[in-house]
Amino acid sequence: MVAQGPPGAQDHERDIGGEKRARTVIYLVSSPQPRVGKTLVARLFLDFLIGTSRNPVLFDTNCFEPTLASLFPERSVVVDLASVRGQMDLFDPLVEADGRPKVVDLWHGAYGRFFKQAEEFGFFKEAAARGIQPVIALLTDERDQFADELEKRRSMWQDAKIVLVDDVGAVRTVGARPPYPLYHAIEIPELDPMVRRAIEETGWVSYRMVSRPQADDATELELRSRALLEPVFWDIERLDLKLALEQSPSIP
Amino acid sequence: MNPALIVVGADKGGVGKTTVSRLLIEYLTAHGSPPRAFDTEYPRGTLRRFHPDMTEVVDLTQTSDQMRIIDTLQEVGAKVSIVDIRAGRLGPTLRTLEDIGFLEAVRERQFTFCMFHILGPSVSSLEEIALVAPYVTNGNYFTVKNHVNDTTFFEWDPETYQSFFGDVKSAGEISIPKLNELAYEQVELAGVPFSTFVENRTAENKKAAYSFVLRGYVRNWLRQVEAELDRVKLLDVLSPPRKSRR
Repeated sequence: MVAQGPPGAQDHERDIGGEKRARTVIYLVSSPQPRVGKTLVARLFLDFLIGTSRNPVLFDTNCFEPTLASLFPERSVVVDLASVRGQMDLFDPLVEADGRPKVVDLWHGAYGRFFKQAEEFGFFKEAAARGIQPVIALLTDERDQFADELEKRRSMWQDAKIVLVDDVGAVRTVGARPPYPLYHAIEIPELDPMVRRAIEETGWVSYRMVSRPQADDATELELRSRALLEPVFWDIERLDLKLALEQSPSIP
Repeated sequence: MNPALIVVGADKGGVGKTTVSRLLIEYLTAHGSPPRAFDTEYPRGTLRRFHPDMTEVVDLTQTSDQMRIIDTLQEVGAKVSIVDIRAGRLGPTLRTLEDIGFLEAVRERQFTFCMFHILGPSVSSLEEIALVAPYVTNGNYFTVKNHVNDTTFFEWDPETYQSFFGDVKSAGEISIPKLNELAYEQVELAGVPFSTFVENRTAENKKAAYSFVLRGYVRNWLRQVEAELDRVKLLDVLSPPRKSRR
């Protein structure tokens, strides 16, 4: 069973440059390729953070078709990175060490623009200075373009925390792994249509169900979701724990 | 290093003279040579609003204020003085500098003199060049195309341009790139130097809450401006070898 995070958990505060700042994580779910499963992965991060009462904010960069934002309008910001206002709507809150985790669903149409702007604005440097932990969740793709992207991100940001994500349902062939250790890896199995529909078409928070003990009268949806998603949430929990331990005051 | 006087001017208003003066102050300060500045927008003083510690507001029509600038060039700690000339006063100011013998002293290399002539988009700007040129034959004359307020310089064709520039000894043409309007507006509202805005500090040196994105725009723009001033070797121009006193 997936361990449930403490209800109403507040991420602990850290002392950064003499200022108390709450632990703030940003999950940048990205790929330069369409249809590799970004929105599903962003959704699962969001489910996990809502399910652990962390009050996350979602940034949907597909201003033309903000699929995920439409399911969680009360906690979503739709941004258009082509405009300065849109850039401010995204980057300004991302550099706030306010303790609220953020998930960025980085649409492939905004992918290049995001990283170019991040570099120009000095986003990763600023985040590090403020004790914010950006994590790049990079989706693999059948053409192995992610490998080049992996190198680009590593050269752009030396301490990049890159999580490689295989969405087996979207990308049938898992690409070659880089010769160096990655920060973390997550595999999303192929979801059956019932589970996929429940996730893609409703605001149902799957983590809440998966993290509680299985009831004797569990529904078909619950049984199938638990079987498919429990390992995914284990991976996400391990990632979250790793990030928390890195910022723990007791860990040197 | 000789004492240096930089005059920033244009006869037309609204072409960005004060913006260029601010950039020069910040550039020189960043390179360890903080200048003193004179704002001739008497009595208002737009430049002084951004750099109150190093700017005096002067009325250049008054002899006493002319003396405050020229007579003290060799006395003060700052080796560079910048004068931001208000619109319509460029010609008279240059005539005054000639009349009081300052430009003669420049020719004798007692002082270094730089003119930053901010050009507007119209041909009338080119006509100003003819007016200014006689005064800067032995000085360092920079023409500045300021794109910060979206000027396109559309009325200039190469032939017209050449007809005005043919006989002018220019030390170089400087192009100030465009800064995003919103970023520029926020710096104006903050009333601080561009670099202070980038550092997210208030005029009182307290932590501010300026937009991270807009600070990024200003930072990148400042880098481009710095590269332009490096390209024309402004620091070398301001520190020429002293005249031999054999």
